[in-house]
Amino acid sequence: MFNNAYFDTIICIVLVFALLSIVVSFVVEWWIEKIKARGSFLQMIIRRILRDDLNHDYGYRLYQHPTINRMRRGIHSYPSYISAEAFSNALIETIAEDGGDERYVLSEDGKTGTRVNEMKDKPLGIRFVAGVKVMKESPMRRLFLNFIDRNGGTQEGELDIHSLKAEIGRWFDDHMDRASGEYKIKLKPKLLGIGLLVAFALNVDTIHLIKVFMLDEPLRNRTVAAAEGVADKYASTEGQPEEVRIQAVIDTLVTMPSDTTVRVRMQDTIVLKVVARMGNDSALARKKQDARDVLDRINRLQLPLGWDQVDVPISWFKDTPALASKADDPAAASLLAYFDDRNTLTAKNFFLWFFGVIITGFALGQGAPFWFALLVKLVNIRRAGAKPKSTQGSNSD
Amino acid sequence: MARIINAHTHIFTGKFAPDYFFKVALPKWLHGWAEEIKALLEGKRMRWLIRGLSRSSGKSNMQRYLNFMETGMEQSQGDVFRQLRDAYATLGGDTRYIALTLNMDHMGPGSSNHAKIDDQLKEVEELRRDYPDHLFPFVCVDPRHLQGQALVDWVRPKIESLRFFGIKMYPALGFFPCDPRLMELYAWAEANNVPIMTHCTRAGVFYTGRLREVVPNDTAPCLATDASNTAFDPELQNINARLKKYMYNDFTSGKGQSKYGCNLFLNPRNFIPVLNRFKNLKVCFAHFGGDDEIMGDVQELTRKAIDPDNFHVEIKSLLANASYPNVYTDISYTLFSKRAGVYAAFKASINTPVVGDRVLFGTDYYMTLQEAPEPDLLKLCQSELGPVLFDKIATTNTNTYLASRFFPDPAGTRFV
Repeated sequence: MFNNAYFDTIICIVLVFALLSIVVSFVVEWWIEKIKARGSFLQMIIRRILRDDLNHDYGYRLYQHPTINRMRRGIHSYPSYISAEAFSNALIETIAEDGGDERYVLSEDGKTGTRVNEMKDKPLGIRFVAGVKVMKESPMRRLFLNFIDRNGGTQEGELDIHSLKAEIGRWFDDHMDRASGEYKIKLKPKLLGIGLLVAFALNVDTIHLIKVFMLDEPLRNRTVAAAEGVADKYASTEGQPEEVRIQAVIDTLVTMPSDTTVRVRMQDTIVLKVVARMGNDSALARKKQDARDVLDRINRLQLPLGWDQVDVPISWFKDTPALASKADDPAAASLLAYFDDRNTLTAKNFFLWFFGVIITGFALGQGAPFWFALLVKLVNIRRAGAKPKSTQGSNSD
Repeated sequence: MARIINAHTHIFTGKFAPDYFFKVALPKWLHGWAEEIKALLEGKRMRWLIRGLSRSSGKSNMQRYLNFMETGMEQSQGDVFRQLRDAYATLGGDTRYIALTLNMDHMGPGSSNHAKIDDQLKEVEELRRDYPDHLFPFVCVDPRHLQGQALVDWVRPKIESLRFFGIKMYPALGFFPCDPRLMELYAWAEANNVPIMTHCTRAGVFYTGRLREVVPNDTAPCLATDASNTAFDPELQNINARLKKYMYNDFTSGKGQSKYGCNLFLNPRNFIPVLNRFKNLKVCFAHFGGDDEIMGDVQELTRKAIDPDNFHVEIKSLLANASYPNVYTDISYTLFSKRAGVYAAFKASINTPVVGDRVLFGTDYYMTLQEAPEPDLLKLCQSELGPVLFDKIATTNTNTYLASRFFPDPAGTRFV
């Protein structure tokens, strides 16, 4: 086995980042829901794939179609999901709208104007073909003509409207597959911003964590044990969706034995109260519970984070008694001496605290999958090789 | 009794305004968070707060965006139009509305994901199906969108088919009305008596970039006064002199100064070469120049000797000029003003022979929501003008203005 204080400290830090990243991803999900970003993103993608500068912004018009428009929950929201069937129906009907030569005709005496559209009673397929034919030559028009050719042709009665709908639906699904990758990239700055917010809200100073893990062996051992359990569970669910893997990790965390003396700094803090108020709709309820479980387990691990009267930065403004002289053994003495030193407000201490929190924010912005994958690798290195999956009992060393 | 026509309303929504129109109100470092800020602004309380702050700090870009958003954030133009109709319920719901579309596709140098003019028009056409006898839209043109015969070919079927009834122009978005690329359109409009409405007050929305981006030369693009394209109108000299003053002045040509710089395009005298060439062109100079001009308030541009022309005076002189028999004006937006001289000026013009036949009633809904609700404006206008004058500008004059070769008798025709 490969282990030493430095390496174990890295594992502890990665575990903290991985767990807090779950909280960050919940807050990001809640925020996205709040600002309706998912719907806006889907709208942006649909408008992009249907953009035709030579003709119409078919994406915009698609969203005015009753099928899509009625999915909206309010005037400022767009549906966050549109099925392929709804998309193809709305698109075909939108193009078909352009098929007729609509006009108003005045009666001979000029007293009455009446709307005339010869196409309005024709079948949908014919109106769609007519709508494509009146488009100016453009890539979008060629695309539609290809769809028509592959599904029966442009002659009256030949077009198989059902197979056309199915093909447009498949085309839409292909685009949506690609869009999910783009969405993740778009989320990066939000993850980073909210990562910083969570780091400050929970007062997570990476530099401080490193110091404490280095100096506090029992805490380090306890945290490494938890990290191993978490890494094993995460590795055992490989190939499953990320949500399932994270869920499995949280279930494992909840069943792990832990210190029952919960420190006050995390329990009943503003952060927990805020999390409890966020995302009350059913879609986010599960994630909210996950975030609360993670915060609870972090609490039980007695990690040096959160806001406390005797900890930085509040302690800088309080009259905190010196701790080092009360230590029983040299190891505890060096840890308490470090706390005493840190509790004094100096430019260096302030910079280290601030920089430590910023590092945490950036780290949390990398997302939970990154940190869990790294944790698995580190735990494997610590064990000098991955644990065999099914024959652990008989072949163990 | 003929029905009232409100000759100047808007129903377009914020979706047709480019994203960068919003971004110009934000510092560059916040552009990455524009989505979040937009979401925050969409909250009613936050909008109220920011509106108050922007008023006190004079951040007019933000204010204009918020004004757009107030009603412009409605889901569709149909929602805006229905609100407008509700405001006229006291008149029996029989009022007709000229809805002026606005082409904002070329209002800035940035790229944007806004819905384009074609889609705005398409939505209006669909809305007209539901209100064929109440909604009379105008199609907005811009010489950077289409030019010459192509522009005519784009406009003509819309108006011939009675889906649209006139042409809207908004020069403050970055073009001269005397631009030769509009010549074919003017010729067609004059031949068919199709009405044109042009924005003509120093307030409103403007091109968002620098003046130099839309006027690369030191001479204004201008159509010739005769068909042989050899002679230019003498007014061009004045236009060019004004252009130089605007161009070589930080107050009007500097970054973020477009609200002053774009006054260059708005001066009613820019239309003189057009009117000299197309003498029977039916053009309405909207807003009667604005209440500040009516009251003779000294504007920044006058103080700095860049553009001392008083738009109200210039419009009156065009109205009084017998060479231009089809020049109109409307009292839209300006009608909100309770300053003593404003309605007196309206009355004086309406009571002047010939000129009085060419003053139109319009409100500039929904831009006017920043001043007063629509029913209040209507009430104010009716009480200040009295029934005779109001009836003249809201029915007789507007019906004459709206009439064209394709729609010869607005007062006698009913769409079903």
